[in-house]
Amino acid sequence: MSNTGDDLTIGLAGLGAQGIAYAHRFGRFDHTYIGADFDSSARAEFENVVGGAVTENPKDLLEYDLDGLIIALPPKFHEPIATAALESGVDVLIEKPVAHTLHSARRIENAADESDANAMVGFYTKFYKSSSILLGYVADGYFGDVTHVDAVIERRRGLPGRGTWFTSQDIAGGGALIDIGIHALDLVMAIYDYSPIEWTWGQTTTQFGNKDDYLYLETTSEHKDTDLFDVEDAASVVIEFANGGTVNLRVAWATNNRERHEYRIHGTDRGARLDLTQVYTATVGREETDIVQEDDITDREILELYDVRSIGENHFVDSRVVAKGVDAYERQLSAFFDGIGSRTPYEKNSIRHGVKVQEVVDSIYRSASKGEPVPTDSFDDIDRR
Amino acid sequence: MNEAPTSERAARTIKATRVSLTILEELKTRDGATLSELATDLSPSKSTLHCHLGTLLDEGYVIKENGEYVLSLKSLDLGGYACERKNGYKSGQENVDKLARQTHQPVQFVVAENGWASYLYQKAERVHEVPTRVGFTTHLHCTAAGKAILANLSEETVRKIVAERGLPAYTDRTITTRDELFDELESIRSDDIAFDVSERWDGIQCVAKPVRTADGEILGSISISAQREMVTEEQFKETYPAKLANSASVISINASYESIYPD
Repeated sequence: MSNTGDDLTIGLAGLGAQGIAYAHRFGRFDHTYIGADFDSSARAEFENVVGGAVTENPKDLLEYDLDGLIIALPPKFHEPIATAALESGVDVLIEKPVAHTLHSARRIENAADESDANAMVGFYTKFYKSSSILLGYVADGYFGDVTHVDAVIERRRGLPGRGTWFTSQDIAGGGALIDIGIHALDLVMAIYDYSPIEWTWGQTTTQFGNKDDYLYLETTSEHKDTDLFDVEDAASVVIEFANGGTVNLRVAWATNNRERHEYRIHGTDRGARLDLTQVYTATVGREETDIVQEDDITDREILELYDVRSIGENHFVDSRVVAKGVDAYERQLSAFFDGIGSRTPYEKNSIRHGVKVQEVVDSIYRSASKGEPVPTDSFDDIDRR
Repeated sequence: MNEAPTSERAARTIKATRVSLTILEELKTRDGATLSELATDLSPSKSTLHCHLGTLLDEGYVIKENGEYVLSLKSLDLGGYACERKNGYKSGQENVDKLARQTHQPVQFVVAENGWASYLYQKAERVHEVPTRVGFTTHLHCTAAGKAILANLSEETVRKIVAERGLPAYTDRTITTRDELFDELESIRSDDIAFDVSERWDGIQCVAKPVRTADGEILGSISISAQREMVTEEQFKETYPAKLANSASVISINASYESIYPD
């Protein structure tokens, strides 16, 4: 825990499930917090959890002398508040995705470029200790060159509130892919060090979302009785990087199968398997964003390393990483608070990386609507628009 | 001031303003007119009308084209502003455009003001086939869009609107009694969708979904209207209602966040 003693003033725009997940961790830092949401019951919950001041319009947070602003609004509404904050020199932590569209994400990036202040993106998956250890091994060259990553995030019944903004193309910018698949995209892109991509291919489907007989098992998400559902609930993705490395990604909000959240890393020398399934299922019925008690990561996060050796005889070695567990959300907050006022871009989850991930999301959706792979050249078309 | 009885309010009005506004309305209805033409239809003397027209020309609300007085685009500026100040307008516009593209049918976003239905925005592929334009104002009881709004107002408010505006028949299918109207509104409330078949225009049927704020307050309604032979039963009863429901929810969420944007 850091920043003990320096009392920062932190705004929290958006007090829905995501915002409240941050709010639950606020007490672990000695800062002053102000929350904003148009919804009065959300404001009441924030007051209950944090005891801080509240205001209705997130825009009004900028009238306080903020040091940092956390933006946990629906993606379509990130841009107006993020750009206003950056223009007034306030560092921001933006919940993923950066925005509902690539254009909107780029405008936030531009505002960050023109400001002294910095923007960080809430890809908290990278703040699990096992993810961080894995990336350390990759950077250290332990696997040789990474040639392929097989990634999957499949929930059994994980549709986030049908009939809320989560299932609206207009507000969320997409469905399962942009909501949970984006964590996996960010992690695999980090494994490839955000190196250039040759092409992406994607297919998106809607199997459960618009069905009336979807069984609301194991979920506490809010389900409104409306027909607001025009996004995909599953996606299959293939990516080829310019260095020849590949990625297979499968994402689903709901499947008639077991839950999975797993990454298999294939290297020229060694391999690894990161399994975060238990992080979600251990809190089934609750979100990953709920507070995780500190425990050994072997209980919840599995990181295995695969080697082949010829010491004595030729044999395989499967080893398991053991480390003290962490609360990824708290670590992300801590990194954000630490960087406030530093005027140097965030190393982890910078806005630049966030926008690169958003470029890939955009290309996957374009590929899915065209029915063919999309080359990276087309990223530049959008870039210049 | 709104509570002032009509007679008292009338006593405080300025007749000259009324004459100017009547001239503007008349120029719209007649699609432009000469001074003599106006003088035959309106009661003030020719010289009074001439003074009014001079003022309106001076202020830029009227221009002269081919010897006739016509409305200028200055009223468009006022109208554009009056539209944009309505909560949900921008998202309503986007969703109307999207639905028109998807369904190839005329789509409108309608709000109620002063007991009238106002067409805040509309989109149609074949504009000349549509009897309405942006700003078109009509009774609320005779279209799906209007009824969808009435169904979300209190009974007292509906009674007041009916008393003030009446229930005139536009076709032989228009609802013309208060009892019939209240039955209809009850059924709209239970299904949360409104229909009309040739109630306002013969041969045109509409389906409308109310648009409410997060707090349940009525903002307006979004509707698809179609010539009867251009739409199937399935589209009218299932496909369009589902699409409208989606749009209504999207407009509602956007309306909640409208004030987050810079002024």
